[in-house]
Amino acid sequence: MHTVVGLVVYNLCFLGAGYGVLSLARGRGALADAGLAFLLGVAALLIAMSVLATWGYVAGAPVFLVASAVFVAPAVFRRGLALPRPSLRLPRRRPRPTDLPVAAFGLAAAAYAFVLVRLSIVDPLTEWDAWAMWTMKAKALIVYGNLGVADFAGAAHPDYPLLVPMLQSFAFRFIGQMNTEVVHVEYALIALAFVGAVARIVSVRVGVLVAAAWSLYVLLLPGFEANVPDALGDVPVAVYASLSALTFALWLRERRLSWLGFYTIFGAAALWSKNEGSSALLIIAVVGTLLSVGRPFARNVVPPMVASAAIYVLFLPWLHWTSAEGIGHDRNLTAGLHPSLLIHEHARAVHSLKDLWSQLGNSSTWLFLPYLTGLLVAAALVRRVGVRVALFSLLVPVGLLASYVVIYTISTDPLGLDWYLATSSSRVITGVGLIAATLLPLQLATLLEAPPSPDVGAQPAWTRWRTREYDHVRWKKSPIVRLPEK
Amino acid sequence: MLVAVAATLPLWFTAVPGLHGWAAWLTLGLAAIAAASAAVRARRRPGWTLESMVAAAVVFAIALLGLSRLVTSLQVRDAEYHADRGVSYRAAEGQVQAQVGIDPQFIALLARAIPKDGRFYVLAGPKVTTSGPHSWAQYELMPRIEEYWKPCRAKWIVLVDATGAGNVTGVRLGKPIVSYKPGYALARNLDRCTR
Repeated sequence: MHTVVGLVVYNLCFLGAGYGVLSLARGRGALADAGLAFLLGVAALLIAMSVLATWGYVAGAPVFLVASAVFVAPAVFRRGLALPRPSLRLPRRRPRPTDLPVAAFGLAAAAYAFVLVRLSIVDPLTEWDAWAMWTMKAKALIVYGNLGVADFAGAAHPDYPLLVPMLQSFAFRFIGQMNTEVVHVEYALIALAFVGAVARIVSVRVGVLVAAAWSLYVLLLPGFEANVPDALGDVPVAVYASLSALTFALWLRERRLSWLGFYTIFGAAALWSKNEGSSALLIIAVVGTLLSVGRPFARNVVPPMVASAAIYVLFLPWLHWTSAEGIGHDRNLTAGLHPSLLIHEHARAVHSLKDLWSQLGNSSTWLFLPYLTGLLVAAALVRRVGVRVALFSLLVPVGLLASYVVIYTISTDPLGLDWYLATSSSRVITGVGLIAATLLPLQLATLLEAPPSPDVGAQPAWTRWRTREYDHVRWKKSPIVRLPEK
Repeated sequence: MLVAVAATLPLWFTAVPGLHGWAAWLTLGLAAIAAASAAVRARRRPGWTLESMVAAAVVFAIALLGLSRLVTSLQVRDAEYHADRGVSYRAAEGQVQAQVGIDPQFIALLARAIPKDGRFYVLAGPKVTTSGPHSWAQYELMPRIEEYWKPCRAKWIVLVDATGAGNVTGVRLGKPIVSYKPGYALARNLDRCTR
């Protein structure tokens, strides 16, 4: 009984804190925002707890509850001062016959959610890195009460950040025992909240039916669902990197600053989840900022740069702590930037690329996802509709894949590259696949919501990528309908 | 329209992976409706466009692929649940430990013998090819601290499948304090690091 109550209270803290953060961005949240609120709460609370830990104080449950109350406060006191936000609520209307397919997809997703949560309650901690690294650190946080170098330096990957161990350690504190089975519930909830959050955001852009179909597709992607019950850091980092990419793409499309606010929080959570978050965020920030270029510069380029810098600032405490303790990366990252790398190590690079592509391109693992993404990108480029979102959806996954190729190429694992790939590539590729899957409905939205256009000859030239989706939003906001610039 | 097109397709087309008969047709129908919904949404003006056709095709694909995976995924998760339920987390941890060469009873004996502020080093024999015993020993024996790098820093030496080991570089072992079975023992470290 204590386990159930503790688990419920723990996750309600995330939910409440998330609604508090949400209220800062767009006022009162709806029930349908629960997925988004949960992930915001996980990010905000656990980053706060992790920062405290790097300052020498590993918080217990009372401090966690106080922090939750602090984050909830804006939702209680500042509703009236919330910034105006685009409506993400479904219109209230009478049921229609077309709602039946929505219900069918919804029931299918709910059935899978049920079996996933039910399994996560009894799932044993079998994955090697789970007990050797992530749960080990979670237990150390409780037992030692500080970031003792004894464990964080001695165990594998001492440089891995704290969000996932914090997630597990507070679960242990709230349920009153180090129950390595029940802790899997947190991973199931993160996966379900992620799908719910994205479906909520895209449903007003592509329709509820398409969002529901997408939800089921992503939940059942074998490359994703196989990793959810493993209690590792790969799913949290993939989820938060994907949400960072989605919110940045929404900024590219709609140019609302609140999306950059979400990008900052989710990006910081990705960095605090696992080292792979660094490469993902670097690529998202660089590609996104380049695609944001437009006039006026201060309004289009400076905000994403500031948001990306804020992510780095939020991660500074961990960088400072690892530096102060002399904990370095387990591979020489600067070697990957050497221009001659791909020439000298081309065999390893090609081998790594083949292995990673054998995961991502496998139709039974990622269900044709790269090809569907490619098709949407090609259509957008051919028709010159939503070019920025299309390029972002292409370049971010490709760039992340390339970064993993470099990382595997420069790896110095004593057991060899083959062993390293065999034991990690199927997990690491989750980030690439999930980012592509998350951007898929936004690409659809860009295609579906494109305003009517004249013939192709009247399209803007490649040098004038002031995209129509951006202009479209500006037109809608403006009381005067203006013609496109010549 | 897409539903009508799907219905006119030859019967073999209903061989949705993992599904047959009415389930396959239902899956196909739902996917077609989803695709049609996307296409209708895209039609802001009369006539079909490349955008609407591509969007409809992608939505059809993701709906079909998602639905076709549903039954298999439900069955797999259900089977895993029935295989795992009824086993306590401690028992499950013991099973995992056994798979990597750790005996939970041996660990329990170590926990009684090594004081809570003790520092130990795990000396594994040549048959042990993984770091599993080291990791599980640290996990189970917290707050005791495992020494990973220099055995001379540890006061206690844990032998795991290390028959005849006693000549670790720079370390002399005392008489075994715990002898569990051949190769599994706990001994004091008689040496200290000189630097």
